[in-house]
Amino acid sequence: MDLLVATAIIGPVVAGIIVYVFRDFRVRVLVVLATALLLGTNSTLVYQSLPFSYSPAPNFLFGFSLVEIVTLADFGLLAFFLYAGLSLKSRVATLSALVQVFTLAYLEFALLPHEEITPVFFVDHMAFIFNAFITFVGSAVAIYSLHYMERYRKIHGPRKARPHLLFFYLLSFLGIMNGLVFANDLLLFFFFWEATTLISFLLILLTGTPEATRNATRALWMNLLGGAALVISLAVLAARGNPLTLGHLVAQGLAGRPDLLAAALLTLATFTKAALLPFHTWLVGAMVAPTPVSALLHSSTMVKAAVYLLIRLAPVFQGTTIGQLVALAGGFSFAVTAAMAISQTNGKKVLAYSTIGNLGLITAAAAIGTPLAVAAALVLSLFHALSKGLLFLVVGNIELGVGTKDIEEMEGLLRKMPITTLISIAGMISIVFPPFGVLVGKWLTIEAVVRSPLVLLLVILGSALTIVFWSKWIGRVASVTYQAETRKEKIAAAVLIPLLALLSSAILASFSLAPIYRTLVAPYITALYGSPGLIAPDGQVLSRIGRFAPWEVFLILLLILLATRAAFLTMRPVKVIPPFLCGENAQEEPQLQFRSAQDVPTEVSVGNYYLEKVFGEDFLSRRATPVAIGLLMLIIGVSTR
Amino acid sequence: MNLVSLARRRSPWIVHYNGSSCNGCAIEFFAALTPVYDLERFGVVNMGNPKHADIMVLTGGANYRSARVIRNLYHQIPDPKAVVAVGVCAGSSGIFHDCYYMLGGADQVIPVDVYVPGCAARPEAIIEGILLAADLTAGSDAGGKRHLKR
Amino acid sequence: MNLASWVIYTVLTVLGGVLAGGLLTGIDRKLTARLQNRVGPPLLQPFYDVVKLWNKDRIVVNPMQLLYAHTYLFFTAASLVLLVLGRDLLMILFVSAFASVALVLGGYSVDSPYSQIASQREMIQLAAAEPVLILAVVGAFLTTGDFTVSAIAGHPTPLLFSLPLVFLSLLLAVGIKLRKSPFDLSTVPHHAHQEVVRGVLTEFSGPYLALIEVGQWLELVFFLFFAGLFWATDLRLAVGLGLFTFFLELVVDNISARYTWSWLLKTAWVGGIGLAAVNIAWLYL
Ligand code: SF4
Repeated sequence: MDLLVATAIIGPVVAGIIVYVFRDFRVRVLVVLATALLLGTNSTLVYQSLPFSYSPAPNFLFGFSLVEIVTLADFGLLAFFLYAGLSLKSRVATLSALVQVFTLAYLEFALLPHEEITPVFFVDHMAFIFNAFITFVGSAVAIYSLHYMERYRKIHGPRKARPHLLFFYLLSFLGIMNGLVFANDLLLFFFFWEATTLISFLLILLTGTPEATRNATRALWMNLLGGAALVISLAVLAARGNPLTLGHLVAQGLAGRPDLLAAALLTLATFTKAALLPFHTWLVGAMVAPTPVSALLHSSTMVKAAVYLLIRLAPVFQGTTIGQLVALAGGFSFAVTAAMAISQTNGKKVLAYSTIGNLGLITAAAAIGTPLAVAAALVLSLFHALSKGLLFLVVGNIELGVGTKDIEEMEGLLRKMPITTLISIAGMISIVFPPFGVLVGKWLTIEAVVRSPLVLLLVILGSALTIVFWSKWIGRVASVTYQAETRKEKIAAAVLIPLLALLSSAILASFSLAPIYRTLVAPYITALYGSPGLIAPDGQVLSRIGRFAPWEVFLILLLILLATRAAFLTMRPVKVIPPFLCGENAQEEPQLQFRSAQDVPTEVSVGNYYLEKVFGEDFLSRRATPVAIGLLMLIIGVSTR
Repeated sequence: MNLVSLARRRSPWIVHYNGSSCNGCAIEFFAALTPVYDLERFGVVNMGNPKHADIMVLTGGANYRSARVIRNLYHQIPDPKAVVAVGVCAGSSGIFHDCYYMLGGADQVIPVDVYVPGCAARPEAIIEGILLAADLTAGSDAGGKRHLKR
Repeated sequence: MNLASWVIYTVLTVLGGVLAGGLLTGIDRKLTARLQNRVGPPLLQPFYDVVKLWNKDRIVVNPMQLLYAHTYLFFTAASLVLLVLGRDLLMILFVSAFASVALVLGGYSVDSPYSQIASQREMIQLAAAEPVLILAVVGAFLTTGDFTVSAIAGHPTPLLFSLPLVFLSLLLAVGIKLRKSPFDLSTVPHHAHQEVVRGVLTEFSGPYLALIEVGQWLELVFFLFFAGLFWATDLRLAVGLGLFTFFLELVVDNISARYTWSWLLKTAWVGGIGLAAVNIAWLYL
């Protein structure tokens, strides 16, 4: 047990240090591959011994106990934050760091006369789900970055790229995340939480441009604010004489005596980390960093830490007013960010808003807290990680290939980078359409929140808008200039393999939703509530109120492909002719043109609606932020009753 | 008579182009679509899109500038297709004959299948012309007089 | 349900859907003509059209159009089949939304200004109608306690009694989905409006257009079936309600002018969602 936990947490960190010390490309390749292999094997072993718990011996390292080491590390981290806050002249960051220092000191030295906390680590099926996709998506991102960072360095120069730093952060991040999902001791959890804040700050800062500094500062103060809420919540728990473990918090919730103030403060912390409204700006700003960073921050790790905590807390929220309010805030984030995404031309920003939206959706489901809702939240987390990780990597590749992340300029991409484009189209379809996992999660969420009308309305509006912005994007990359020739695309294996791995896993996992649900999700929910929320007999997912059989829709997809193929053989188009331009077609090669006024040949150019007036970023942000702040204050306020 | 030619005869969709004309014939053509004459009872729909059309209805003759448009529209109509030249202008450039910019009738640019005479051509004649063209698209066994028996 | 009966149901549904959809479209055109004091085309006109299109020359602007046409047709057919098989109504709606998106992508796939504009509009129509439709499903759930069509259809009292306002909003959404005036922004079936030529269909022609045409029949049947669910206690009444919806859409189609996209969105989101929300609110209370 100890070995499994240690490997998951310390292994990647050590690998990161090696990469940092030996700044050689070949070493990097070797270490990254070895880490992926190690983590993969480790996850398999973890799965086989689920569920288990582990507490390190009192004289853990050189006679110090783990608690003492972590306490020391905590203060070290906070000292760094204080320094960063001061040197970046961010008042909120400094203040939050100070609050954290004092609260932590009060907590450690006045409230907790160091009682025994057992178990320190607790690994159940839910922790494993997160561990699995951290391992899988994280490894894919790391492998992809090997090649990506080399190209990035060629384009942007070594001063901006700094691959050894990136890999150091990236790999240690995986370890920290594993620690976060394995920890049962809340102080340990707090340490890992702060460590993710640190690394995300450093990752955004990586390129060192003024814009990166600005956005990293924003990420820092928002996350530190959340950290402060987290540590205050721990102090509240301790002051009321509770042992500081996640298990105890959940048990209280299940017993119907939830500690609402602590839960509300934890919610505030998760909102900052998940970048839900009103904290959405930091995640959007994090887009300045190189692609692997955004992929890692957004899809699999960082932001998932927040929803991990929320899903854990689901039993606490179940049936409480706070739960309803949190669900409302989550649904609100989902709907608003989906609307904002419509007005974005920057592909990475669309991805960012979509991430926030999905986190909002997961939050809404988790806060409802019924077995079905928890099932929805877990299914969404898992599939969103796969699909979104894929999409980030694909966009990174497009950006390097055609030098833009502007959606409008992706016109005709199908001819320029056919392989990447096809993968990206498949990825986008997998994130919003049936029969793929994310949509199943959305479907489950709607069925789970059906008893909370306002949340429901927001989720419904959000999902309609989601379809719009994804379709717009798919349409743009799939649109082809008349008769432009298809280029052969050269794509490195180190790029292609992670992409294909993520894509095929998203598809396969969607196809085998029922077995995955049975083996991974159901045990956790059954252990928690005594009933599995959903039953998943062969090939179907059944709840008490609805059902879905993925294979039926997969069959249709297969039929479509077969029929199209058959159509190509039997009713192959005999002629390819240019589009209808009122008979005024001028020239067709290389650019389609029509004759405009006074016979001037004019290029045909088409573009998307962005509907700025209705869905503009600033316009919505200015209106939605106060509402979101109000909701958060309401949550805290209600919890003190 | 097989199903395909029946369907072709019963469903002629139209793209209309108004070349060098006094607009008289164009107005008469649209009159044929109105409730009084109701071209749609023969399945005729004015699609305004060559890619959906079977029959091209030309009113007015071709001049040097419109020739390319006429040609382009004609080529965008998928086979089988037929062309109806409505009015003497479309037939032989009519009152615009000898104008410096005229090429002549529509048949100077594309092959015309049916000429509907008149200045302006009457809606009844236009209807008959379109149905004749529809019969042409249906193939040789069409028996062009079918519609007139009704 | 075993595989054989599954296949039989599917084949029968699709065949029945195509026949019924074609006939209804024929009736639509005939009645529209009569409303305009015309004779109108024969009842079988839609079938003539499709047979003719099927035998036209096969031209495309780009071969991807084949994929989109098939996706539209198959997903529409799938949503109808799943409806008949009594699956989860919410999931069925998502499947049918995918069908519309296939049409959007088809419009996008060529660089024709007309079909691209229409694609945007089709998407706005999707965004306008989808929430209203989902709310209708939610209303059905709140009445029957189940999301599956089989359970909703087996409910002892007609849904219409508890969901009158939801039904009104559904009528609105169906109008949008069937692209009937005043919601015919993205493409116009069989009329002489030519603002964006024929919208998303502009660059589809011949047999590929025929596929989409058949898809639109199935879509018509699908939504009438959906409306019919609101009085599912008696088959005759269900059919009657479906037909009532059909005639109502037809009349409205003939007496209204086209909306702009912002009006459409406002009508659907304020009017449609508002009506449905009021109705659903009283179910909660
Ligand atoms: S034929 Fe006569 S009515 Fe027709 S366009 Fe020519 S001039 Fe006008």
